[in-house]
Amino acid sequence: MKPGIPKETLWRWLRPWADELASLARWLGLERVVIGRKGDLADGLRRAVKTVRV
Amino acid sequence: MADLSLSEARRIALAAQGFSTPRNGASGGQPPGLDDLRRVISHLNLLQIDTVNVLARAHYMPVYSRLGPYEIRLIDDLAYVHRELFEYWAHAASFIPMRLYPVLKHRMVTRREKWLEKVRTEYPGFVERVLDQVRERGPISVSDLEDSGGRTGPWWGLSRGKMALEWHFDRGAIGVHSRRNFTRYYDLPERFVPQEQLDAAVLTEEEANREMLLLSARSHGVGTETDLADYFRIKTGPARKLLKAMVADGELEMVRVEGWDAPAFVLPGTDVPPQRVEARSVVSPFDSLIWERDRTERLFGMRYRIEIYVPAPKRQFGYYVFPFLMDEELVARVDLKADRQGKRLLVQAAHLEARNPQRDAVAVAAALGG
Repeated sequence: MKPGIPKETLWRWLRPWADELASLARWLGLERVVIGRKGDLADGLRRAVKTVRV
Repeated sequence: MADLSLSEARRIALAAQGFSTPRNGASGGQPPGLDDLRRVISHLNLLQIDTVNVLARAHYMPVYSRLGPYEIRLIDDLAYVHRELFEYWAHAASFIPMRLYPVLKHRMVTRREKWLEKVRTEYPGFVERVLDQVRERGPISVSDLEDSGGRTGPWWGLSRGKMALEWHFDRGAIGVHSRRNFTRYYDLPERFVPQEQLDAAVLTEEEANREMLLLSARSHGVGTETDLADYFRIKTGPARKLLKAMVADGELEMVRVEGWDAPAFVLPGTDVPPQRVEARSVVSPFDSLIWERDRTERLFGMRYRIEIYVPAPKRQFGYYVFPFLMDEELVARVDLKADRQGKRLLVQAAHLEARNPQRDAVAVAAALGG
């Protein structure tokens, strides 16, 4: 991670991460992705995951 | 000696590890099949097997990272139906391409685990009786033995039956014929290993190590002595001597990588792939991309440690943490767990990879909220 990452970049990253987690869940036969509270990425990822379908 | 920038080294390494082919790219949008799996195996040369099953069995994950969703049975089919993979000690317990059976034969001759020897010395005649049972009734699992012993022994809770089977497995007297629910079923190799591999000559230790170092160089793309030695768990002393000879013989070339203290090795003719790697995937702790933790830090700037054995309060990032590969960088890490009963993928922690101590991760949430 480089200093001063623009917000748009982070958003552009988080959607694919959420897509990847949803894809992984489907592959494993799971129905939902649940993001915990730990970590500086948790809040952002939780919001991004809400925008994708498992 | 040629020079490589760190980003060039990273691209070479990712391509060598099979990340340069886009998911579904090779199969024209069709679900990945056996040929896609064979391509991944040809890059990696082995898949580590581990009992950890927090998310999925360890050996299934590296293939997912490279191919995306695929039918898990394909790996089992490749190993136990098509007999293109076999199980033995390579990096650790691993699936290895069957064509490498002759290369690993040397280990079957020399591998001797002292703790397993105890089962032979403390129970005279027992290992011989176990081999007889495999010969008479194989393939069999430990629970099929007439007297497997309880799991009360001092050896990590392994029964003496399991130890005897592993004693023979180390020597290549028996092999893993198949698995059911991850339980190993053992049989004599002559009943399932192709005759061509059984008949192949046993290489000397030096020949075998040389072959494994070449395979390591192919799978790593670029790597230091410790990187190459670690791939098939070769001791660094013999590896150092052999690498020197292999450079002299033109089998490998030495290069300098930006920021690396030690010289690195590549196969002759190794070029930096012109195309940027476009990968998006979680990477398992048992993935060969990140096996060697020092290499992971040198290549990606990520200090990665598996924290399974760290007491919960002392864990920094979580129990079973997967780095997230975004194009050519490891940019985050997530602690994953499959809650199979609740049918949920739990992301128990999610951290941005931050070399910048002043990062403002709150900005992520703010950006999303806005």
